[in-house]
Amino acid sequence: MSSVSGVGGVGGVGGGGFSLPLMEGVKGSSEFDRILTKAVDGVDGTLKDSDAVAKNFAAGKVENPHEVMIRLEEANLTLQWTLQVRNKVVDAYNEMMRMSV
Amino acid sequence: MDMFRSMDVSGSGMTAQRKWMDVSAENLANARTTRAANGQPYRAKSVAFSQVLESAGADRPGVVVEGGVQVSGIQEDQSPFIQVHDPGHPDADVNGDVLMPNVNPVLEMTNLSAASRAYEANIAAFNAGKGMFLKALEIGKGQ
Repeated sequence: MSSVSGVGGVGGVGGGGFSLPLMEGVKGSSEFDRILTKAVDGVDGTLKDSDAVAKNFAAGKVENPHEVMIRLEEANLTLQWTLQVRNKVVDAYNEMMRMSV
Repeated sequence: MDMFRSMDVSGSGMTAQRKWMDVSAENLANARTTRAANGQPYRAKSVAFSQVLESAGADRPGVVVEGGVQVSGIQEDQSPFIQVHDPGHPDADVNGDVLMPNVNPVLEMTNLSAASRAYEANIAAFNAGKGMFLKALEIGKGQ
């Protein structure tokens, strides 16, 4: 039922006041919301880490250059991962909006 | 983040190999140093590695990661110094003999090569992990 909770999450974001009988089980913040919030928090943390490491590197406080590259690469990959999740959610939303009623 | 564990492990490997290279460079630089600690000739140093069994706290994320490697210690080579006859040397004894460091330059050059190749191997492992992650992002594409 993850796709249904996904729709619930998107509906919440879009200010959706729609309630289908199917969605009565999804109350308040859905599991999908929590997963997404946690993921975004994680990405935020990784980006801040890479920022701090880059600043330290510029200030000459880093002894291993590969540490900087690894942090930057991790931040880059988490960002790509988030964009991919975003794309999937938007795709699902668009699919729903295209539905003829 | 846990999904980057292999990358952090590779990073710890790179740090360890760099330390190995530092020590080899120190040995080579001091191959003819006759006055080191206690006025004795320089003693060749070697590094020992150990596996990290527990990740460090949140203050050093990714630096000391479980399953990675760390330098557990740097030992001094206790083999005898090399005696050279050189009466003109400032540190020569009454017989004109000088004690030279027990550094073997050939061995150090080999260590330098090994450390540099091991560093590259860690980078290759890192890139393989990155490639896997990027491939995972392509799951479901092109439907």
